Amino acid sequence: MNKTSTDKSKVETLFVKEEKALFNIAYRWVWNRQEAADLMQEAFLKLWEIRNKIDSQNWKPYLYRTLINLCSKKYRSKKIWKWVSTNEEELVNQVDMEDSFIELENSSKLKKAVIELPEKLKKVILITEFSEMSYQDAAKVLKIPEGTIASRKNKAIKLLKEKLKENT
Amino acid sequence: MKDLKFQTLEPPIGGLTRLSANIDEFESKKRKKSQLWKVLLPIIASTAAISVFAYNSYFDPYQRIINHAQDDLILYKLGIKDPNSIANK
Repeated sequence: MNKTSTDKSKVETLFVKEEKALFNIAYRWVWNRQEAADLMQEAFLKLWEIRNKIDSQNWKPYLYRTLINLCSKKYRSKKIWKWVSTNEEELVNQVDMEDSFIELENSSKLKKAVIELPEKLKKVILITEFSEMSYQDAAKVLKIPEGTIASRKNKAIKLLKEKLKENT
Repeated sequence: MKDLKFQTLEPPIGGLTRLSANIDEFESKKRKKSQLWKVLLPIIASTAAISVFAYNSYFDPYQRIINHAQDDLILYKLGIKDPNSIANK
């Protein structure tokens, strides 16, 4: 078995392990299943491209960081293309057909609240919510101190609760 | 977070197969690229070498003096003397 095959099986194992978490994070960013799946593939390909330059222990943080950056980029470009009616409302209303039965009853409210969250808070809440990462690992992914992760998460929860209250 | 619980969605099926195909395609493109360079590099290198050689032989003043001197020597051997020749200086 050569190095490429070994690396490939390692990446595939990582995919199987992290697919659900990564998909859910990407979905909460772009709110579209196909786009979320595409972004996930793109992040894995970027990892594949750079795999020899980083230690395999750092593959996971690199992957999460790359996905979040790709999602953020995609979200911003979507906003730009929606320039004609560039308010958040427009993005919120771009509901996927599948959303109606995938999401919870309060999904649209939650979705609106998540979309309106500042990006740095959104990154923290989505990573900690879906990846089951410790604050230490999340801090490694986002390259910020552990304490900042905790404070941003609390702030994000507080903001989300406020937004949900506003919308009820 | 109890009241803010996100629902965990199932990713679309076939993600792993798609990834595997994407990696294979990436590797195949990389191989083709390196093969292309293996062909192109010697061509580029020899073209560059020829160009440098041609440039130097045409524009290099010392080379031109030598060329003139050789021409003059030939002329001299042929019995044609050129008083303005560099070789006679």
